[in-house]
Amino acid sequence: MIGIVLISHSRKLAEGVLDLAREMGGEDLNIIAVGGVGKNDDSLGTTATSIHDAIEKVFSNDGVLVLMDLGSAVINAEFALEMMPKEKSKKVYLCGASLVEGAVAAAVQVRIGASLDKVFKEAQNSLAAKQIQLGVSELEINNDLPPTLSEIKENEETFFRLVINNPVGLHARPAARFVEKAGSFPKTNIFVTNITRKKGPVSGKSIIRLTALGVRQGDEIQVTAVGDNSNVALEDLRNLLETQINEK
Amino acid sequence: MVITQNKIIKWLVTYADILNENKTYLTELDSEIGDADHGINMDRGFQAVIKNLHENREADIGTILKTTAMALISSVGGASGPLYGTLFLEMSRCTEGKVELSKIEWTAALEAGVKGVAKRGKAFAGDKTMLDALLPAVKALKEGTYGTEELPLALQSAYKAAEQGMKDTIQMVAKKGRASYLGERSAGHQDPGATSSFLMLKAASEALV
Repeated sequence: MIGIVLISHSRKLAEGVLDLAREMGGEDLNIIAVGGVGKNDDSLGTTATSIHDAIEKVFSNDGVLVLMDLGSAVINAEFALEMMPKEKSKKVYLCGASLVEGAVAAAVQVRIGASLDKVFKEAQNSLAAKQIQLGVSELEINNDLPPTLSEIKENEETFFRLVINNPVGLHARPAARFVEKAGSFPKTNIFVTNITRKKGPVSGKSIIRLTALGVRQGDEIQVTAVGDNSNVALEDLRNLLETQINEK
Repeated sequence: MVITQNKIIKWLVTYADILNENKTYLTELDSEIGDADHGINMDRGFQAVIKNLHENREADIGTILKTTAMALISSVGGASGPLYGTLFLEMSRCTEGKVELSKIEWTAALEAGVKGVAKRGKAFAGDKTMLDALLPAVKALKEGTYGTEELPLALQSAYKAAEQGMKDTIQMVAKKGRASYLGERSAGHQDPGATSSFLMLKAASEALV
């Protein structure tokens, strides 16, 4: 399983972020928090040696994603990598994402079995949802958008529409559950559009993109599937939305 | 005149003492434009260095410097840990197995260390960092030792150049480190990292002669 290392100057901060990540990524997530210096790691700071040890603890051939706060945490993370043999360090990715957003995005991706490249990319782009929510246009944030509507053939077999009535909309945990289910169909491309707010389509396997749709209670969404097993995927996703995400 | 391993130890002990005396001063400088921990961090780091040195009294210069580097890397919380750690680690690579250094060897080792710092911090001259004291010092040291200056005079020149470099950081706008968050407002304050580097060269001019 891909490992995740969370580095902060503050031990408490790193551990708090770990709790958030576990909530989304599950209890068996291979994740570790590191930070603080001095007695009981009580003082603010980071060291290359403790970061190196943390990476070693969660290391496997699946690779490790490292997220950090700022300043010396960045320099020390680079230093820690240089302490490892090349064949190992090439499987360790240092990610420039914001710590909290990056950790949550990475946790969800690891849970759905994404590759290290994909986990890295999702974490890297993880600020988008918050920025869009606060009014920055998606185009300003990234030019890596999923296919346009015209690229997805709309016909009755490959999509369904449904109104979300969950009080939090398609956010946070409901979104994570949707992404997890969508991720279980590796050969099917799944897209979600917020019909009510005319946003999307976006990849249904990306928590960041899905959250950026801003689906609130009462919004109608369209779920489109393209590729092998698209009917099964749609049935499963509809079932998930109707019986678990939507409240009766 | 050569630099023996005992002189290297004397240099490190002198520097540790100077840092301890200037702990509050460095932290005050850092509280103006940084995170107010530079004096505390450097003192903590060099206390760890001194502790480890007692177990390595008989070692060669490369080993002494490597022990110093590792103590800093594993005990200092701020960026000064990996930066000074890299300086000593690079110096240790140039001095492996040696029990004494000529003035040329010392110059080459310091230059390698300073280049390591620049690489680690991805910083350049004028960024308002420790490099603004170290780079002029290396230049002065090279001009001295590659020329006709004897070691004490060359060390003196390096220390004076570092002092000037440190003072020059006052008017600079920080481009690296925590001070860079302040942008233009970082001007008007002396850089704490340049100050601790100046003190390191001051210790060298006292201890290595």
